[in-house]
Amino acid sequence: MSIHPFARIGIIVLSIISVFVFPWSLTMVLMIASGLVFPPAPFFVGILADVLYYSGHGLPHATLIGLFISVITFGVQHFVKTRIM
Amino acid sequence: MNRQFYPRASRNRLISGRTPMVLVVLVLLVGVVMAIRMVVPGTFAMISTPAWKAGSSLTASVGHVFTFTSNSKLLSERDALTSENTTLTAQNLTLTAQVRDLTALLGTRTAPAGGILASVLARPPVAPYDVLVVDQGSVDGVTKDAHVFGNGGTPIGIVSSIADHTAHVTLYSATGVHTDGWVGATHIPVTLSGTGAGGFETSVLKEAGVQVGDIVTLPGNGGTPIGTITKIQADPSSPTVVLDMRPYTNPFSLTWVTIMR
Repeated sequence: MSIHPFARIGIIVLSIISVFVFPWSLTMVLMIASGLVFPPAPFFVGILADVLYYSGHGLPHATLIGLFISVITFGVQHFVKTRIM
Repeated sequence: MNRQFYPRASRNRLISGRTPMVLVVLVLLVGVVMAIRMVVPGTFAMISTPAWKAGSSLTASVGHVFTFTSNSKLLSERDALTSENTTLTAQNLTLTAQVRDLTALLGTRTAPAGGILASVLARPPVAPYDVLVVDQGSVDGVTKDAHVFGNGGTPIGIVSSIADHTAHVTLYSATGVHTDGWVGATHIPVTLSGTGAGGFETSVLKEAGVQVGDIVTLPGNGGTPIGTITKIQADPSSPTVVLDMRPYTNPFSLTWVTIMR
């Protein structure tokens, strides 16, 4: 996948900004998009969401979802690279 | 044609040489962030306050610029609201008179409610977990587990965590939160379970005779209304019915709340 470096940074920054501005569902979509360009990004965004909004009741879902997306995108990237090369 | 050949071991390795280092850095970063949040819980909220305020302003501006309804629909809606307003004004006058009479009968045992007015920095759907982040904290007199009220004095939740200048309010509608309440004019006791996004669900026996439009109240001050029953789901094989409730206060549009001292 060939994406311009500025576009990569833009997607990651947008996913971080979305935690403050956009609805949670849109943030999830941007987390997936940022995971495709930089797999650890969704994990960071999930942690940021939990640091800001988690009230200590139940599981920190945002971090867990971010971790899940990061693991999946990490696996996909490595699998694709291995098969192509 | 140039071809690059990689050693088999390196080609098939799932985790490259740099990855463990990245993972260690990630774990350390998470530890540091969690430690900061535990030791000084309000730090991140304080840093984020300008971003939340900018987000709210931006959302409000976009809402004013883009409208998805036609003018005629808006006019008819305005007329309907004007007529509803007239009806409610008359009803309000009647209720005020009733309150005056009851207060005269009971004496002045209802002390004036004192509260802390707080601006909502973040609300659903931006904030997950059905929480509000408000701009008043322990310095301003907010205490943990204090009751929070929305427009018109409708109870909406309790203060779940607190920092110096901010506080988190968990709404009664948050998933996993159970609140005791009453349904209908006869005050049938129910347990309201939050379903997220401002919604509630509860169940009562079929024989209770609950109907769509019945008012749901919370104990306190003789029962404070928080919403109405919008849907009754009945299963012929079950002795109970499931009730869906719509709250009076829309958490998506809350801008100010009152926190009890």
